[in-house]
Amino acid sequence: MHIYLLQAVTQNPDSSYWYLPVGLQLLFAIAFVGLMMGVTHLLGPSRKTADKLSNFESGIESVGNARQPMAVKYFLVAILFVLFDVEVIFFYPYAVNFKSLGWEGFLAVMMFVGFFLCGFIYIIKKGALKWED
Amino acid sequence: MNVSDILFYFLSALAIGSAILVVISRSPIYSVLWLIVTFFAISGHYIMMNAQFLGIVNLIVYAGAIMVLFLFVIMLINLNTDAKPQKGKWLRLAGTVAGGCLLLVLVAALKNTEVKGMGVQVGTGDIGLINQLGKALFTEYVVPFEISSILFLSAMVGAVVIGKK
Amino acid sequence: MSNEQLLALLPFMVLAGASIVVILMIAARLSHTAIQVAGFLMLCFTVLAMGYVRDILPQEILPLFIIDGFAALYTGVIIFSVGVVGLLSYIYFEEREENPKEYYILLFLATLGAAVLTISRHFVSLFLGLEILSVSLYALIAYLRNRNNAIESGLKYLILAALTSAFLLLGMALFYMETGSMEFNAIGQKLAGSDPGVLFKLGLALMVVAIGFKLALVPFHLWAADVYQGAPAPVTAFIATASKVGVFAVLMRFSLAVNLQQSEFLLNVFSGIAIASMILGNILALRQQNIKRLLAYSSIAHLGYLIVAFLPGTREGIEASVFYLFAYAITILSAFGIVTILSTRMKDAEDLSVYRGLFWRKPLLAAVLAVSLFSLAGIPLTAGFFAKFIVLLTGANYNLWLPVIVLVLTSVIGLYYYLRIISTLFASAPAAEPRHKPLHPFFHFVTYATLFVLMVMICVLGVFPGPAIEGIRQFLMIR
Repeated sequence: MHIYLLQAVTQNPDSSYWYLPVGLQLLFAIAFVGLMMGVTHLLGPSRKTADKLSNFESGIESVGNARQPMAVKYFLVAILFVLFDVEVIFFYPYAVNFKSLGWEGFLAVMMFVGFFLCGFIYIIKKGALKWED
Repeated sequence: MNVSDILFYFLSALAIGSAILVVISRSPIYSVLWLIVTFFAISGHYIMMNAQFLGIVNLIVYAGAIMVLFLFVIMLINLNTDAKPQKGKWLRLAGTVAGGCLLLVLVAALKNTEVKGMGVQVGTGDIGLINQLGKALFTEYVVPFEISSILFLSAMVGAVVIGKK
Repeated sequence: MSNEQLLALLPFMVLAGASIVVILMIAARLSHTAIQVAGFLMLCFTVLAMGYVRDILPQEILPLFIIDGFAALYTGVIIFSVGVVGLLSYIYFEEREENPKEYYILLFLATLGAAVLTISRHFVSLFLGLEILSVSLYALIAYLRNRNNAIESGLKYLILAALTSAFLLLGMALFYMETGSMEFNAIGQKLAGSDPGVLFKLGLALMVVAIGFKLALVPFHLWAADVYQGAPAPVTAFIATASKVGVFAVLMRFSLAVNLQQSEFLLNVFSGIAIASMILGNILALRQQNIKRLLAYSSIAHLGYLIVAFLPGTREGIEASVFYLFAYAITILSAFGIVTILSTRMKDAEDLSVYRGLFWRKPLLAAVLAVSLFSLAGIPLTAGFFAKFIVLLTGANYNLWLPVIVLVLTSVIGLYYYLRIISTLFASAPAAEPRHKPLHPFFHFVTYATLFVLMVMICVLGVFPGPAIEGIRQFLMIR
């Protein structure tokens, strides 16, 4: 199997076999966490008292209901973040091909950014990111 | 069966299993967490199909950003147990029957096609690689690329209109 | 991309530019009036651009778009509808004091989405156009958030549209699996000669779910009445016209490319959908007291009639469908125009009681509404009659007897509820309630003039349809 993998890697530097170490590490991390949680659960003494099972709120008794609907402002900020996040992701494929795409690619990206910029001006002027009303 | 086949079936089982758990979990928070597992499994598929950029973007955007949005939405709604809507037993049964029928039709139709039993094709195709994708996106597909920015614009305006006082 | 190809996209760029202009105007805090005027000018520019690029058509932008006469016709109907909707919106939104300005951005973006659908010949552009249309519509439907049904109907549309988008994507994936291409013509060539495989049928079935949802065809019509009721009246007019025109155009283009109508089985599926839409739409409308819901059911029935013109899949079918859509757009726009004008600040004029004795209070509005209802019912000397007649003729030429017979019978049923509204128009009148905020008479004049022109168009198309059909024929030559 080792030889097979090595061959594939040498054939194609873009091959997804390069992700094998990442996958292995992921696997190892999950296994480690699972193992630790399982082992402590098994080995440690388990004494359940009411104090230990209560929610930890800096030492004082928990007050009120935690399940309160929160302001929609958070959501607005989050959704705007996602939109601009996606915008930035579109830059990666451009950056990799920056030279070969030339001016035409540059214009395309400028137009793309221009649309977003207009949206951004609108958001700022509208005060959508202003926290205090 | 070689390594890639085993990985393929493992990831598929993980994706389908966690997707089912998304639907049947009682707590919406658990649903979101299982959805993250689903996205990881799908990213794994992308990487195996040599579409590494898509795999990573799927992780950053979906497992990262969109899931935060989901959590925000869950925090926006009233989750107190007394406010939970009671779903009728018959409604649930009808939903199961309808979904089952769709599954049956899909399986029955796909059973006899030649793609049956075709495993994953690992390491072939390079359109998912970042430089190939960039070339295709900025030459052949440049118009839809610009149009997609308009799609974002409408999402932006829509969010501000609905969400802002 | 060559210069000519770029030029052919000019109308679409102007539309996108219009939304940008409106966004920047809002950012500069200009008034509603200024934005309305600018929006109208941009729409005029779009029309001018369409006229300007007419000579260089057809242009293909491989692999995604084709801008030919077919696309120009459907885009024309869309732009016309949006122009009317925009003219009607001013009074409606000016009376509601919460910000009416973003409405115009979303309207332009939705228009762009619908227009992109008419020129797309590839699944990627189809999906992008559909998504721009839907995302803008979510916000437009829920635009007047403080109203009773607004958020509810917006959410209903959002969830169902997202679900059907998933069906559409799965259908596209199955097509790709079968043919290895996402381009309509390439799919058609792959399938030519052979009987469509099971993957193709399954993919088509899944796509029909999404298309049927957008067109509100039975059995995917459940959202129609609620959304029509909850959305602001001008937005409802937009959903009933522009969004459906765009989706129908792409359905037509796709089915022509893959020779959908050659397959007996698929033909039966579509005629089944058409028959179900005609019957159910008309029957559900019978006992409806809410005029917006009634128009929703009537639009379900009308899309059923339209599918009859879709069934032959020939040049005559396309001609009939374009003429039908144009007549239908004019008619439904004038009907919703009346609803828009009669709406008060708190509530749209949706109860039938509002229309009681309208003729004695506002004879012009009553006349426009009556003519548009006659046209919807298909009474002779109106556009609706002639449109239905061409559809019937096309159906009969291709021996589609069952849909044609159902069309005639359901039209008779439809007559009942249209005439019921018309009879309330002439009933004895209650006292008229005063308007809240008197606007500048100029805008009232413009709105009334628009409605009057629409009424005249309905009559002219009903009496002299010849030039319009000749024009459609000439445009369809450009391919």
